[in-house]
Amino acid sequence: MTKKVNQTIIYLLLLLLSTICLLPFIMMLVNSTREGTDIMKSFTLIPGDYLIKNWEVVKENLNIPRGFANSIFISVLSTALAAYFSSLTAFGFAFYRFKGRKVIFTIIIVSMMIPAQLGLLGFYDLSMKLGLIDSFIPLIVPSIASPATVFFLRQYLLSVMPKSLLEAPRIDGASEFYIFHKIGLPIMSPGIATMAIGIFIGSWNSYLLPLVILNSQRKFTLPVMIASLNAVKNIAQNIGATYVAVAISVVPIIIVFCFCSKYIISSISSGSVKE
Amino acid sequence: MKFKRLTALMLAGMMTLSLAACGGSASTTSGTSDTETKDSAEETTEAKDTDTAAGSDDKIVVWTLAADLEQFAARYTEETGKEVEVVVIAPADYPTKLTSALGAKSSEADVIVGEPQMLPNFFEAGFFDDLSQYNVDDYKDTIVDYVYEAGKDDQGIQRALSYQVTPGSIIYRRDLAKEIYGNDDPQFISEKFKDFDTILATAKEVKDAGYRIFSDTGNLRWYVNTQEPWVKDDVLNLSDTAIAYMDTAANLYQDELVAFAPEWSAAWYASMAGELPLNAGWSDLAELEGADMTQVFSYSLPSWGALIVRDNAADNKGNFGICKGPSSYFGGGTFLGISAYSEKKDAAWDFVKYCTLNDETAQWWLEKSNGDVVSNTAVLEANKDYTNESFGNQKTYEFYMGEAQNIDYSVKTKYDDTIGGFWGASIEAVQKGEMTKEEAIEDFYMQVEATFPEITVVR
Amino acid sequence: MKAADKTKKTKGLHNRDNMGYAFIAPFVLVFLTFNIYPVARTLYLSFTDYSGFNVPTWVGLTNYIRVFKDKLLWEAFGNTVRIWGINIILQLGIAFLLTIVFSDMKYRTRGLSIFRALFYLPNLIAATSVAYLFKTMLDWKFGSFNQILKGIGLISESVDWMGTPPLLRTAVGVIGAWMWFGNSFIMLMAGVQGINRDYYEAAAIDGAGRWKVFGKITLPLLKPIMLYVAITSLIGGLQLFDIPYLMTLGQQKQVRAVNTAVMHLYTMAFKNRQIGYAGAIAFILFFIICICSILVYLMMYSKKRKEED
Repeated sequence: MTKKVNQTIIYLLLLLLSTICLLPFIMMLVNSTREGTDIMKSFTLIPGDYLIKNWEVVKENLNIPRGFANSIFISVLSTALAAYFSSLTAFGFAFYRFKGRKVIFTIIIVSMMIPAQLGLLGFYDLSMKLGLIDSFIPLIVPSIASPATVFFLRQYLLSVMPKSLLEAPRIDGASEFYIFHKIGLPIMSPGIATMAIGIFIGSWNSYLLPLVILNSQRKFTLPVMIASLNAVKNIAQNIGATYVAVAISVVPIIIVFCFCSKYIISSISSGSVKE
Repeated sequence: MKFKRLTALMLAGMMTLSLAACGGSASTTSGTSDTETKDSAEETTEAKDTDTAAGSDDKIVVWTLAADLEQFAARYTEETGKEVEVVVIAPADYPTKLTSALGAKSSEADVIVGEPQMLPNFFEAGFFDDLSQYNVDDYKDTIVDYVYEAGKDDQGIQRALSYQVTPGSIIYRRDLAKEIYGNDDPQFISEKFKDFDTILATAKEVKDAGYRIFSDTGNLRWYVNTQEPWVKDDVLNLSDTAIAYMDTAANLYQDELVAFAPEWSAAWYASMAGELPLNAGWSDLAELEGADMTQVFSYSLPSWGALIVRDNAADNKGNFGICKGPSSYFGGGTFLGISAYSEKKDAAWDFVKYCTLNDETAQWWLEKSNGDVVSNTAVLEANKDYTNESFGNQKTYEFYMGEAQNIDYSVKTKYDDTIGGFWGASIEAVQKGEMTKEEAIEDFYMQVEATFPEITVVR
Repeated sequence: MKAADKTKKTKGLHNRDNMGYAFIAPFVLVFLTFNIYPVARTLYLSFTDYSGFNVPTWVGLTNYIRVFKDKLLWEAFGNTVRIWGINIILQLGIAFLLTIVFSDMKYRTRGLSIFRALFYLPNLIAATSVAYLFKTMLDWKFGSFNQILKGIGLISESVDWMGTPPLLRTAVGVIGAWMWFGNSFIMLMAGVQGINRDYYEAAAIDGAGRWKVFGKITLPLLKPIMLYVAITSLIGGLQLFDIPYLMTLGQQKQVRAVNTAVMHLYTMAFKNRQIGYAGAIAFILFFIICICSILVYLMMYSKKRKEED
């Protein structure tokens, strides 16, 4: 009997915690459909009918579709580059015994401990020298070098792909890159998928780098646009519109998560256990 | 397992797609630039063929944070046939934008602008070209002195000029002045604002009559370093005026002598047309129905503030007067210069000269802007007898011209903005009773020391 | 003849192994350009008076000496630690409780994967959005948070969350916990699932009670991973920037209340244009983080050794 009671309490508490996790998002969605003055006066979870009007206020002040397109462009390209080149690098480290391999790999692992802010100033300086301020290139190209992804994929390869798999095609005279593309990539793909989701979300949410690198409104990514909401007066006076803008930046991530949560969670778990 | 395969497939598809997109976009970009070159080439040929005055090659680009320049550019093109592209950048983004673009030596902009507080840093960074190569000294008497001085760097080299002056003023309600004092004469009201102590006394008189002297305590901030610099010979100078400002602000706040409506808030705008709710803060007015109402007696703002007050006055139009505050100062203003990395400097100078040193342009702008105070002395002189209906037929140009001539530019330093911000925060802490005066001053010293090690703080 | 064959063979092998360079070349190139060079450049600049546009002049250790005299920076470190303290207690506490609940043999709480996903959700949202959402909800005049608290009768007067420094710091700490407890929970849970079932079976044979099993088996085996989570969160905490920066954007007084070391670095570099000095702050921060990382390493090392025992 006490077991039943305790169990009920446990589930109630879990539900409460889930509510705390979800409530801000639900409130955001509800408030984005309500009129600004209403939101200030009262709190409710019943949607209003102000969504279109709020959206129009947002549209007047911020070019959200543009920010959305910029964010998609940068995130998709970054993810693709990181996925492809990390696999390539991991493949190289896993199956070739070239000189200096260990040293380079160690440097890569140590570099994972360097805080992002440390390089920020030098990065900015470099981008300035290369004339890449206000350009997408410094936000996309560096993802070719993603140490954590390389590390993860190398471990993954070593555990799922025996070196002997390379022998047959080699005897057939296939080139090393051909082997990578035909055999390595497909075998690695579940591991790549796991990392790709993380890279995509990280890139989509990235704020500091685009903030420093981008200057013109039409190049802003969604997070930078959201951050500039404060400066836009009409929006500050219309809270409903603010919620709409934030909701637009959040919803894609929730959708991605709904489909891929399994992968994300397994990548976190594996990260903690492997080490 | 199926799911895994599906994801892998999706991912592979996505990768190919985006790689294709990458290649695709690269080729499109190069494609556009090709067409662009072609287009401009065609245009140039066309221009030659049809003998049009200007080809797009002569077009200059202006980067500005003030939309005014769009109108200047339109008129300039109309009169001279020369093309000008004006890029208006949000004020908050402007310094970052300019710094990163010109830091990378971009030649994109030909004419650049700056507000007075930004200029020292821009000058130091070498963004503004030396104007003396265009004999700018010959024009020294064309514009008001302080504007000319503000455009000089610390070596005394002229680098920027402005078409406007922005002297300070107290903009007050004539009807309320008559009601409270039986007198709405600017000379008389000016006495009521002659120093911080008098302002405090005035505030009490105004409150006794049921009104509030200012919308909020920030109104006084303009007068803090108008006679003494914040930093003199690398030593921090916390002047008596600054301390008096702190005391007065705290008194105004604690005795509730202001209306508590910050500048730029909805209530602040509403107050210009009449009543506003007390303690409105940043709230929407609709929310404050039924609150206690009051009226604001005066606004302490530079000349551009008079235009804001006038434009939001509604039925109160004509009910305002303008007079001098505790001291003469200026606030804001757009200064034009030539980008050091421009490839069309002569054309850029022509535009700068047209905007800032041309009598006709100044007269046109004065009329077009409907009351902006121009920097051109001859035009100010010509308009000094103009009586302004919006301000009880006061001669506003004469007033602002006089104030502009009183301004002591030598007290300005490149630290003013940041140090002024620290001081403002300290005052806020004292106002709200979070710190004692001594603590707040010590905190202020600490912030200055931490931020600018080159400045000596003498306690 | 034989010898020649041998050379040929090793050479061929050697060549093939050298293909590895081709595989890692793009990575190394980009890595050197965008990861290593910026860090090296920052290190160099930290010894100069670089402002972003002047020619850097060597100033020796001036910037590093200044770090120790910069009271605002130490205030920022103080803020960072205070915010992190609130954050870590909540984050680890909740994650730990959840781990107990889900690993308990008697109750066999179900729905682990669903709850895990729900708890992880806040971690996915961009910091800008989180900051903006909470900033709006915590507004004392029209924020939903005050309305809810008033609605359920917990408070009668609106609380000025954003304007009261200790409350604002608490709020930032709680938001951090809200964002990260799911992550900690997943890691701890993975740790529990990684514990060899044999231990439990042996304990069951010995007739050990639930709490005894927990205290004697689960907890000790979970300790290294808890420490790991705590210290990685300290490293993350030392780099705290987005949430406090975005929540207080442009509000000088609020900025002071939650000014973190990285926010201070950012202000110095990009607002006051003292890039050289900001570089020195970055390296001092790195030094502190290194010490923490060494702790993580030592801890994991001792964990491994235990396992080997």
